Amino acid sequence: MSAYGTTRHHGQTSANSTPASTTLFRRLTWEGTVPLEIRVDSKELPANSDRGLECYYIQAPRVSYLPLLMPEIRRFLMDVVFDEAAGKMLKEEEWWFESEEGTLLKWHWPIGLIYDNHTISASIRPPSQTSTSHYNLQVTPLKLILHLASPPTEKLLLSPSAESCKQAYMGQLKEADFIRWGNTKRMTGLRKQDQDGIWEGIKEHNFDDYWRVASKIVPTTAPARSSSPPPSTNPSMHIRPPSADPQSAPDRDNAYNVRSVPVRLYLPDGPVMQDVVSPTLEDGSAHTLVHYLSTHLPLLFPPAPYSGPELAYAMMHGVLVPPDAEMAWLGACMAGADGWVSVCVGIAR
Amino acid sequence: MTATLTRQQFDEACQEFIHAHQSISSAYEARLSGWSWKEHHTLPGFGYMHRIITLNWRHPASVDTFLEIDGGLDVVDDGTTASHDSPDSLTCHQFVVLSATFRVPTFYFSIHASSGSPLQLTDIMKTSLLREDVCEGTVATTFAVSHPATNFPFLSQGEHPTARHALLVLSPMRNCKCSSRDPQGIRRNQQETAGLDGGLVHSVEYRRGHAV
Repeated sequence: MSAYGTTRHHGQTSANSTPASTTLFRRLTWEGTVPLEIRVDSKELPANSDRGLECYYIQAPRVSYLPLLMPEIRRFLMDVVFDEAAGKMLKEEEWWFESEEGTLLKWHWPIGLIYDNHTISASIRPPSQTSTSHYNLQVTPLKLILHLASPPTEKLLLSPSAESCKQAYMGQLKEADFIRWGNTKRMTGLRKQDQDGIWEGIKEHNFDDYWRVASKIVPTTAPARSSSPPPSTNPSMHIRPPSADPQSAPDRDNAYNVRSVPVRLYLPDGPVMQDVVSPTLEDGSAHTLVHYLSTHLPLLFPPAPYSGPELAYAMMHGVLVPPDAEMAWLGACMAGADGWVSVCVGIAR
Repeated sequence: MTATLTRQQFDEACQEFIHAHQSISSAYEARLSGWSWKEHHTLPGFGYMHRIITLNWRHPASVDTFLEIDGGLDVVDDGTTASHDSPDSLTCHQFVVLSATFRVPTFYFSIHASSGSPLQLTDIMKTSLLREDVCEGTVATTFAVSHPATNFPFLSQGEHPTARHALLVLSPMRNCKCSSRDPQGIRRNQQETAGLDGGLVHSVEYRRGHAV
């Protein structure tokens, strides 16, 4: 594991490098996983299948995508469940997933978002007998049903291939880039090698490979400086190329200088909400999560002063987010690998 | 000036457009009619336009060669989608939605054969929805159709922001270039945007005289 300043430079920054705390949260976000239980629909098991073994368990990276799990699932099914003849008839392009509750799972959503969306959807259903938590955030395997044929093409994006998933992913990165800066120059300025490399980082779940490219497009939280000390010689640090104007480089890429933070708000069984999220408010203060939520969902997050019971909660990557978290900081440190800050709102019990 | 719309501007422009084109007095008006306003079933502020029209194959008996298929990506015929071989008329669901990212009207659609099977992307390029010359120079995969020189695909799969259906979407980036103070630019963009009937999307913008 290469060091990104978390051990040798804890709490320190150099002019053009990423603060250690930023890297820490980025790594924590990256390494999050969720448990999945994948079971083939019993009605679709081919003849001569080894029934009773058609269930596969996997601890999947939150930043990954269902199409990227397909090869591993297929290997399991071929090795353990299906006989050789049935295996040859398998067409992965016809596979599709749904939850136990019948919710169609989307190919182009990160797995972590699928899991969190399931969690908040459960928050509006009658509580289970085992659920005693106010937030119902128990980490239990998400039970998926794998169908092998007849995908609902009117509801699902077609062609669940890894290449299609990559194209959808790159589109999300470009949209996030546009949201931040009003253009996609940072994304389009990447060489083809880098664009492929960032996706390879997702595929292989390699933090270093991903951030080697992502550090060129994701804003940093490094403070602006009046003078520029020499660049660090540590090759493992996130180093941005020195600008012709040292004083402007940190400002230009600073998370608090973006036009808008790419944020999407997910409600239980509702549409995805997306609006302009400025990093600072009109009075110059930082735009916080509580302000964002009370503005967009005042009935669930009543503005201060409010002394009543908690009505809802905001979750990112499976954890409750402090209300005073700054939106710009979230955009730099806890965005998903697709560049988006995905806030999932659940209903408190 | 880049043209963007607020949610309120978009809603008002769409409803004005729908109302203005309810009566059909000419072939041009006929192409702009048939729209209705839809809302999310529980939450306000997610409205959009919708209509259903009938399309045909552009060249029912011929094999078009405009489209260059990316050789590295197989166009899979899995039997779940309709093909160009079908002589049936086609049903096209059309939606005009406000892009939350680019803040411009965005055109989503799906095309189905009479059997109900959705058309693959390559076959959609052969329907009467799109002008013949639009496909020239494009590269197609099963996910998107792109001009090599552009940042975003010209046509790609997408998800309806409100209804959550899987649809195809014309790049909203084209609509970003339209200026409210440049009617000539609007008409040029209308022609560029795949020759859609009546430049519907730009009619919505132009009608409101939008500005940032």
